[in-house]
Amino acid sequence: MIIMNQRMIKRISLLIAYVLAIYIVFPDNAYGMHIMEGFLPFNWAAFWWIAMIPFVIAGVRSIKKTVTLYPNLKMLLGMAGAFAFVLSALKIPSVTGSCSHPTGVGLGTILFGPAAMTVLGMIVLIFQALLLAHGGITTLGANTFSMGIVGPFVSYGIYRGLKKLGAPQWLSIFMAATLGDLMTYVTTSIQLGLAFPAASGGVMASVLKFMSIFAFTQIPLAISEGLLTVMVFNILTAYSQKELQVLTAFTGKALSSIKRGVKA
Amino acid sequence: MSELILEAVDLEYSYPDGTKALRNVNLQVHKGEKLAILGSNGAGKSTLFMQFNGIFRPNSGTIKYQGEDISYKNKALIELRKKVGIVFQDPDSQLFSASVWQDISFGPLNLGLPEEVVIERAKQALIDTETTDLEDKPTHLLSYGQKKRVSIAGVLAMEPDVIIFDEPTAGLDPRHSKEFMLLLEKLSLEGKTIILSTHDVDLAYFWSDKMAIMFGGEIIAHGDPGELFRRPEIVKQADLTLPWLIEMHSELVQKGWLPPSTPLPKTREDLFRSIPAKNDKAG
Amino acid sequence: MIDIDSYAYSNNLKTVHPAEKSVFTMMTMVVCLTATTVITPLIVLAIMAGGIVIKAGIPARVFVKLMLVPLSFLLISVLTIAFSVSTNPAGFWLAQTIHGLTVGIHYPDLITAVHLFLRSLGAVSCLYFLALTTPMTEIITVLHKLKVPVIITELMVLIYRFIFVFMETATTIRRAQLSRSGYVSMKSSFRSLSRLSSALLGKVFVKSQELYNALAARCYSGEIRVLTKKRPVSLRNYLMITGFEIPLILLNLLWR
Ligand SMILES: Nc1ncnc2c1ncn2[C@@H]1O[C@H](COP(=O)(O)OP(=O)(O)OP(=O)(O)O)[C@@H](O)[C@H]1O
Ligand SMILES: [Mg+2]
Repeated sequence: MIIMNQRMIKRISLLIAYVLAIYIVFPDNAYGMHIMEGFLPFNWAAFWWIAMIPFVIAGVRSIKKTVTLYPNLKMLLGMAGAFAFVLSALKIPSVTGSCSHPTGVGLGTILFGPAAMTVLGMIVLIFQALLLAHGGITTLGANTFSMGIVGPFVSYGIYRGLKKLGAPQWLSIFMAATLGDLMTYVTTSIQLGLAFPAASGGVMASVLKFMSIFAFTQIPLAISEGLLTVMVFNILTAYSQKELQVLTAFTGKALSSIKRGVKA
Repeated sequence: MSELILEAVDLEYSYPDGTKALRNVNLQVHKGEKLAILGSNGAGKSTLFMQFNGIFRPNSGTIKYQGEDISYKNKALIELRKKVGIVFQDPDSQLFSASVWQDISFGPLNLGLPEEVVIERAKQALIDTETTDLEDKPTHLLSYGQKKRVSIAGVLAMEPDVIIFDEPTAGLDPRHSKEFMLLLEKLSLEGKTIILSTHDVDLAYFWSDKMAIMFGGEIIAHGDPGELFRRPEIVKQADLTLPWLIEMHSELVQKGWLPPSTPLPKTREDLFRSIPAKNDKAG
Repeated sequence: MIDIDSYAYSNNLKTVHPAEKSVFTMMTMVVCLTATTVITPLIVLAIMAGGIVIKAGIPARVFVKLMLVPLSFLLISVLTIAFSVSTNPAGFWLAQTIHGLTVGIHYPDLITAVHLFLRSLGAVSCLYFLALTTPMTEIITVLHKLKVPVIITELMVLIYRFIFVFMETATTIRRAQLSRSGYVSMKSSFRSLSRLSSALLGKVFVKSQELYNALAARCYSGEIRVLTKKRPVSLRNYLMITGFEIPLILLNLLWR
């Protein structure tokens, strides 16, 4: 009995040590979202590259259409990409007390629409890989798929959907940013699980393992980012109505609804 | 007097947010002229420059280039911009590439020149602005003054007939300011028309052959620099100070060291030459 | 970050043709990814470390520090793959059972994890070789030659340039906020950060219009065309690359 208890204590403390270790080894959460260089086996790396390409082509088409109509928006997009990079290098306080980096997925999607975000997201990921060694070239396909495709489209869908249901502006923005972030990390977990099925339990077991590990860090980050995005939008709608209007070129109706939301 | 090259007629301009930046501006620039524009922050200098090559379109009034109203059609604008170049105030909003060489080649390539000519011109522009040794550095590792010189090179390489510099010497160290003034001299000798804005009254006074003073979106005076600086009401209204040459000159005249009829000195040498030696005076 | 970027402009290999460096990097990376033995990644790591430290002249200290950057992701992910939790204690190679729940390692998972660990380190060293020796503007030129859509390379040129402009602005604003104790509590951190972000975003709008005006003044009409510096093409380098890759490829093919 006593031996039992000692063992249990030992094991529980092991578990606690493991969780603590995650926090110590892994203080920069958002960067953890990117799959690092060389981590995916060749076949999976190639698969995600191929999966990314049609979306990028669609994004390029849509951007081209917009910038032929409004040539100054090319400069705006370029600077928005630079902004996203800088934003992701800032530290955001996480609700658990640790620190992490915003992704800007929700903010960017609501401002520029998901198609432009795919291209911007990919470019920002290239720069993060080459300038910061976060992510990589072989894993660019997978990372773009989660951060530049799934994240933005989820954000966009939720934002549009909630607006249609008549949800208040702040709630739509919060949910779009938070769930966009969460889905990005779920996608990353699925990508890792697919590439490394567990010896017992296969893909599903592996996906669950990754999701539970990342959950420690990603859920608080997603909530923090949701809050931050709402606050930024509050400032923007108060001071930058005219600029928001310019952006309707990218998003069509989505932004005019922001304007209506504010006037109402 | 040589022919007119640029002319602003009854310009009015407001920014989209309603700020009235130019009011009833009339200005004539002659070919080969060295025109300095003075005026405090927010007087409208930069705004006026943007009218000169059609970046902004006036709400009313016109800009004339070589006697003809400029057209705001795309093709015509590009033709105009080949002849009227602007170096912007902030190099961080003019340099678009991290590579100095790429940035400088951008303008001449847009002129449709063959590659060899572009290379030739870009190299010359690097030499003229003393930026040859910066060529392999990325823009973000350059100092402010270095960026400024690179942005000047980017416009020089296009070899426009009229070059407008928006506060070109702000941020340059004394040596590079001086080199820059020599470069302006060289451009003048080549027959270019040069317009610059500055807060440096000494520079405006000794360099320019015409001066315009702006205040609150208006041109409140235009003419010979020596004459303008001798009108205290203008100097006061535009919040300007007097060039040291003029202050020194009037002080010397007042104290009786110089006869009142001495012409205003244009350079320090002029002034020093007009001051009599001590034994002359005694004798 | 400024580190990696500034070494790209000041290393001994910066005048080597960017295409040569890219081919070398990408081929080695693929060889490393398709490796069937742990020896290949180790050789790759050694070659790249030599290239970076000896050929390019980047201090070894810097290289080691950079290799540690992705270590947190790597360790966490590798451990996640190695360890499993299951109600069935059978088949574990090393395990602990608590209340019928077994935490432990399956042998095949361990092998995967070890391979993965070395393979990733090898690939990261390839990435660093390219990033530390090749200025970004030249990498963009290579992409342009590879027929990447022009709009992508144009955006890359602009983004790369303005990353540094905005980084400077962000640092300045942050410093000002810090000096007015803007990040003391969680609430004030959020407030300061949202102000900083929206100030930056405001700058994005203003600067982009200014840049457009400045480019228009230089006859911009929709496409950003620039000249790039020509670097000498070296046959010797291509021979050297072949000399490195062929043995590695053979090793991958023959080691079964
Ligand atoms: N993009 C803009 N939108 C609205 N108002 C503007 C804009 N740019 C300038 N203004 C306003 O127009 C007026 C003239 O500005 P301008 O930049 O032409 O002044 P300036 O003489 O160049 O000043 P400085 O010496 O500071 O460069 C100012 O009141 C300024 O606030
Ligand atoms: Mg100005």
